[in-house]
Amino acid sequence: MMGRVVLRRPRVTWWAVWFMAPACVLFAALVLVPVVVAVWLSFVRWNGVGATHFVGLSNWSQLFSDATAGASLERTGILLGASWVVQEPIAIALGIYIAGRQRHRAVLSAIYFLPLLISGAGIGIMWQNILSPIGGGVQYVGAHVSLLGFLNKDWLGNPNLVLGTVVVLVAWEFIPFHTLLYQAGTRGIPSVLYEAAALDGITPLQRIRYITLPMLRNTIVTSSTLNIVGSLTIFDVIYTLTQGGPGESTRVFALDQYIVGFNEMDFGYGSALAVALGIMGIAISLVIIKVTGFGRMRSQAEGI
Amino acid sequence: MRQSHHPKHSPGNPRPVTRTAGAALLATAAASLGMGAVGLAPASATSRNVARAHSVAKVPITLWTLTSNTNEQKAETAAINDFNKSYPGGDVQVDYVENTAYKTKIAVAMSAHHPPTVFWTWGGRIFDAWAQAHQVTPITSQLNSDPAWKNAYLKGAWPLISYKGQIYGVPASGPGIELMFANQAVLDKAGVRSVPTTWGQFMHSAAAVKKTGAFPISLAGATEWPEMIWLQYLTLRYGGPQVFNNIAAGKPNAWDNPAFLKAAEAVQMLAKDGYFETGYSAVHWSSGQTDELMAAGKAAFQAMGDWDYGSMLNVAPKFAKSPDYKFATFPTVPGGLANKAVVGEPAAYFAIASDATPAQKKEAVAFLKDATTSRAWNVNYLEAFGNTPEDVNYATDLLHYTGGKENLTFFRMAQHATYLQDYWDQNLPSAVVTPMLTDIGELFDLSMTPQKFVQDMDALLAKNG
Amino acid sequence: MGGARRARLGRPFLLGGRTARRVLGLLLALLWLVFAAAPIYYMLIVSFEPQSSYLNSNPWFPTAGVTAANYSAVFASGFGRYLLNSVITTLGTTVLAVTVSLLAAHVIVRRTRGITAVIFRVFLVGLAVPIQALIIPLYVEILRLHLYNTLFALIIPLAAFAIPLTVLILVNFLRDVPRELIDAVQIDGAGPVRQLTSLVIPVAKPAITTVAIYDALTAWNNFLFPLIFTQSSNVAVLPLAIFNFSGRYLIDIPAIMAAVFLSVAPLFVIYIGARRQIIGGLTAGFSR
Repeated sequence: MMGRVVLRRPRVTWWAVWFMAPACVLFAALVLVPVVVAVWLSFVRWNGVGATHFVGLSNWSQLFSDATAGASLERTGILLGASWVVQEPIAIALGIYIAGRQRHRAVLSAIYFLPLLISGAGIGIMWQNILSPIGGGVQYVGAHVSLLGFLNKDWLGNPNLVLGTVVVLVAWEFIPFHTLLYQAGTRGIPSVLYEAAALDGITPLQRIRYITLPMLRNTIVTSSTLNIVGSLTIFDVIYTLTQGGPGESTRVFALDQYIVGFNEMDFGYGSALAVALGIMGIAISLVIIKVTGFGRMRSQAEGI
Repeated sequence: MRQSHHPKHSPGNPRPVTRTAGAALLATAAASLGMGAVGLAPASATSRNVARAHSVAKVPITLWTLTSNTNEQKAETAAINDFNKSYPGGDVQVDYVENTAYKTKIAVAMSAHHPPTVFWTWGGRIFDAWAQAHQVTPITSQLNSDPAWKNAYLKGAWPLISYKGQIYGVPASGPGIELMFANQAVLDKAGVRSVPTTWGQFMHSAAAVKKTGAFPISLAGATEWPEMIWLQYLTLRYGGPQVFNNIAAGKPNAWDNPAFLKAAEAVQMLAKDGYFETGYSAVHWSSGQTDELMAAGKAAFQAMGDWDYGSMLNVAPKFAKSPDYKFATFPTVPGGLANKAVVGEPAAYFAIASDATPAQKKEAVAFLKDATTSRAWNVNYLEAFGNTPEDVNYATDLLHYTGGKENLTFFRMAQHATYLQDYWDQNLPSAVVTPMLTDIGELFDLSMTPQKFVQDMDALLAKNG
Repeated sequence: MGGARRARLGRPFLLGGRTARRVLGLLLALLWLVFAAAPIYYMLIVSFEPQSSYLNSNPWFPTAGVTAANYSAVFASGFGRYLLNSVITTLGTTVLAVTVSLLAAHVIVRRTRGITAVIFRVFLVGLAVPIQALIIPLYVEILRLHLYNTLFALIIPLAAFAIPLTVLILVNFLRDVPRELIDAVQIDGAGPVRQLTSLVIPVAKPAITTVAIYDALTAWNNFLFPLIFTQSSNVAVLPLAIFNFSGRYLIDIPAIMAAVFLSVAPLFVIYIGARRQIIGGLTAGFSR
């Protein structure tokens, strides 16, 4: 026994290295290296052909005076905030609801899940047709059912409405996933808590307020993190739905970065925008991790 | 515009070449992984190896072109197969790329120095940058030594594909010109006898149509190029070619021109008066929506490229063939400086990348010549989809096909135009084009004033011109 | 809600206040049901409409007759090949990402200090890296590695980008495996590989299922990598194929809808067959 303990130290190190190596190599080669290249590109001027010219901080100073980038950042902020405010409460409510084990709830949850199966590209293409001002299904209902007349609006063409439309479509796409998280979280709450509460005679609403929600804290953090980071980088749906239009009404920051790089062929400045987007994402996740202890290295069970 | 002329432009085809070794290796690796080589390596690797067994001299070259409709693609594939059989060692491999994504894909491939051997291009400023960086191969000497070949195309086609006196490609599709299409049945209801030819008549007819409850104008504003047609024509009419030439030359404050401001105010007037269909900012031409409005008698006018004729044959064949579907040149303006000029494109092109072996370049040049002057490429698919040929020798063949009379008219209009102005988005640096299109969208949805547009664009021009 | 509650909830509509609440809950749930399902129903109906009648009829009902022509057009365009490509890409990505992440996670939960901790934090930061920001450097790398226009050009970067979330979820799950259990196996003389196969994998099965499903969905739906890293139709995957299809059948919206629907149909089938396992699996690792 003693001998084994002495020997174990170096052996543990070696297997650890071999176990870590594949993930590290893959991650370093295809995520970190491109990150370094992107950072380097943010200091050069490059139109995609010909030579690169080192321009120091000029891309970065351009960023701070770029009204388009500023406006797209604002749109990202709106999308991010609105997505969180819209998706989380609905997902929590639906999650708690379908956590019940009645048969009809199981059927409902099966259907709720469906949007999750469709790719962002498919969702964009599909909704573009459903919301089309000519022959679109939503406007058809608005025009023919007087009770639902409010549906007969220019959902994708009106610059004042379209960002709201995107918020709704993104909610349609992602609420199913968050609902599932909350369903699982709710089912994980020990039933003894409810039984104890039932003895105290609390109402169902109080039960949710004082038991379910506090017990869902970890799930709320997980769901919110994925939600916020996802909203920050959302791309596929908007790219296929509106390409950022009409005008710039749906040009969020991630799309602005793509347009500058690939449509305007300004890879240097485009990379500066990309790096800025990455920094924001990292900052937000670090804050969430810090504040909530999400991703902490220890757990009460680990005992180190 | 480039973005969407699709139906028109659509040649070509080949596929990847340089990475044969890698591909073969991967195929082996895939097989050994037990995953089957099915889709893991380019299937071309397999077919290429088989081909090699029969004839050692195969020289594979790749061709990228735009995805087009099924009939066109079938005709193109046939032309390519013919070439592969007739040219010794010919092995042109085609890949069709979706229109919206094409610009990005070709730009990335060029940046990474990994372009296809032959590729579809709209020429213009983007192309100039590649020529300047020596990423494309000039074919001037080959063209000059073969006059029959060179003269097969419209003379006006060369400037867009030339840089500093060298020619870098040949037309891969025929000319396209912008016209005013109309539904005469809608006009009749409004008491308008024929398609108006002056702007004054046009505004008068539009007002009359509006009173009948139909939309005067069918506009696809989701992508901005159909909006650009209106603005570009009016600017050209009011101020002549020089207005845009100054802009393209990057002259200071070139956008700040009374002709442009007048044009911008005119289109904003159309928007303010509610002359466009409801929701026009989200309507796509490519999905047939604006054609559908026209055919259904819900809109009177549409300014669109001549390819709308072919598109209408698909969307609403009955209407397309009826006498109600009319077209005319864009209205003139009083005292206009270019009342006869036409907005359009002389061609779209195939060009050859520099990153290719001499044998590949030789084959590519032969392909450019054979394919673009072949019957298959020029007229074979016309029965199913109207189009103009790039080779002038096939123009009269058009008459044998459905809609051929109209297509020949379009072809002749382009051929004989006193002045053909290429699209704005073709002749400006890419750093200017995207913001310009975005701002045009905002002009049309009235969220930007003409003055602000001029201010923005002049600032951008000063930086990038 | 535990078993005890189930019995009680089994008899609704008896008590006034509770009934009202339950009806209200059901109504809201149905409202969401309409919102979630209506677009999919719409897509299905339109996909069976003849193209010529689509714009002139009520799009919510097949008033102008039903045709399967749109589906045969999609199949004729090489759908089978795209499906196979998507399946290979998805399986390859999932197996690669889960394997390397599991190995790493096993180390990370056991060695919480020093370089391992740093690496874990770097992975976490990777959660927030936007994929489209790195597309040019990635493209150059894919070319250098001779992966361009192969399914490996999708599998390898997709797996690399899946590592952060996969590792995070596995670590969160594994660190609650009692240390004593691992020590006990170790004392039995099991090496790290046997620890992994005989203890960690069985214990972490729920979390592994979760990340596998999550990674598979992400890989299945990815659009940008295929758009840039592949070019030939013989390596096209479904999301790219439907995008190309919508470019090719521009004016034929019913056919485009049929293509979108077919691109999710395989998942629908799998989902209907294994709904319980998928939903359970997808969430097990998150719930701990």
